[in-house]
Amino acid sequence: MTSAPTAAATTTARPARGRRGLDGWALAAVPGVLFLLGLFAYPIVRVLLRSVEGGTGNYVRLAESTGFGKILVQTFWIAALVTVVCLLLAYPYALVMSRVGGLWQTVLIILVLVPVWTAFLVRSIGMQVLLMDTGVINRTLMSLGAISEPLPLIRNTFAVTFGMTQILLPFMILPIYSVMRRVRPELVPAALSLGAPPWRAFLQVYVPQTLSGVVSGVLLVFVLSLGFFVVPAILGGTGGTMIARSIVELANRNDLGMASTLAVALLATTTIVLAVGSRFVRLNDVIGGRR
Amino acid sequence: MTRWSKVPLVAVAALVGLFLALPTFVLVPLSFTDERTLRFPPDSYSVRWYRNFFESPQWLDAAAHSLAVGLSTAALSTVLGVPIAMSLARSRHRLLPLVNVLVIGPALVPPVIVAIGMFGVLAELDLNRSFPGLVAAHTVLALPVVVIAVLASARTLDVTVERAAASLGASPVRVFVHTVLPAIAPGVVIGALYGFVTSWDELVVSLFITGPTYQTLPVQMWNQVRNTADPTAVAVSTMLITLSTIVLVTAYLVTRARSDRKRRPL
Repeated sequence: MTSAPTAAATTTARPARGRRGLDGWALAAVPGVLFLLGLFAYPIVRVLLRSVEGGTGNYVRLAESTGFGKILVQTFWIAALVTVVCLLLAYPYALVMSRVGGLWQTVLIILVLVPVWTAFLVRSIGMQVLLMDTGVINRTLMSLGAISEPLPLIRNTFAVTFGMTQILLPFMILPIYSVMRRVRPELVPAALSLGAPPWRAFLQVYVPQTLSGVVSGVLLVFVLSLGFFVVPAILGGTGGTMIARSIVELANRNDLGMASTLAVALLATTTIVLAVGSRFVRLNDVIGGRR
Repeated sequence: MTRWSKVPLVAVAALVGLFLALPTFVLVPLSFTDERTLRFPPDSYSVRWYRNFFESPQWLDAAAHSLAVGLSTAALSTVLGVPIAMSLARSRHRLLPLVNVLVIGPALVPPVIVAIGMFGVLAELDLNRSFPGLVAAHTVLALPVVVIAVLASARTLDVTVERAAASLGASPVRVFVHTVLPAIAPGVVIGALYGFVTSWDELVVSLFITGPTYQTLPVQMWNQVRNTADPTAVAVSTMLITLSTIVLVTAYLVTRARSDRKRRPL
């Protein structure tokens, strides 16, 4: 396909298209771009403007209020914790998934894909019946006689972390798995035959080859965590509040100015994280791993 | 993996697999409870909560709205998304990197920000609590996945086929319909499916822009479960899991058909 005749065809095809004076394929994007400018870019600009309507009062309130500060810190902390736990669980799972064959591989893939295709809300409801006082975990432990009172598994930070980890885990597994499938497996036995201890062969030969998948997964899970709403709202109770939930609550109380200000803070944080992340991985690939 | 310690690795993978599966599987037995409150294990079983769904106009309306909005979103996001994907694959215009950021943006910006912005703009247009407003909002959220699915197909195309068609006198539209479209069809089908699922599952933006008179299924479920677990919502969840498993198998078959076609010699 890179042969000389094809290259010649390219150079002769160009002027033919240029004669019309317009790049036809670029024009094709115009309707969609206008749609997104009007209904995605403009709404976000409006949120920015709404937050500074009547001066910088909202930002002063944000900076001075200990309540909002606490929520911002808690959001960041839960997002970081969820990302780390997801990575610790996803890496061995993806490793096994990429090394076993046949039926077991299909089973492991289906276990990841069924949740991906199930709504966050439905899975949060599943977590609700798992964690609640009369739910599966507590009732099973009580019937076994391991506990006499239900454990406080729901309406706290633990429930939020547990639920978000469960929901975001596939987004960590899939990018790591897709990189592991392309790793050159013969390099590890090569390192072993040269006398490297197994842990060293793994850490210095195998793991570096999978880093792009790890970065994609970490970036995606962290960014999705920062803006997560459903799990904190259903499983968090009064504890485990995160910023997205505060935004919804402020908007419900008709405090759109303050809701917009928190939204801008969340947007700025997300943008910074993505800008740093995009230096290491292509953002299109990061989203491609979502489904 | 020959000399790496296998046993702990497999044990961790098994536990993670259980962790992934558990929240979906626990819903199945609980959805058949005969009791008003959810308790595990239920003392007696029945299909009363399924019946409750199929006999409640409120639930059925919500499901019908979701279906209508989902199909319209799939159609609109495909109509807008396919040309964008072709532009990104073919054009060399200097603004295309910006177009790329604009298109993938809705998948990375937290939905609550899209929601609050969309609410304001739709209020200006007086489209909140309306069908067109919901379709417009869901299309914004569906476009990134649709474009990426189509782009994956478009990148595998051989441009020389189109050039040959064009050199034989076919108009650009004819070239697109007869050579490009059949080749990217599997990507378009998967894209449309993604578009539908994005809309069907969407909660956060819908919470802002729907009202009591026009609710989607996720919004209706949300209203039932926000304070306490609700047996009807659990029954609906079980049906949705069954549905998503069917969708997954469909997507798997389409993808396999696509890779089969690639392997077939020309």
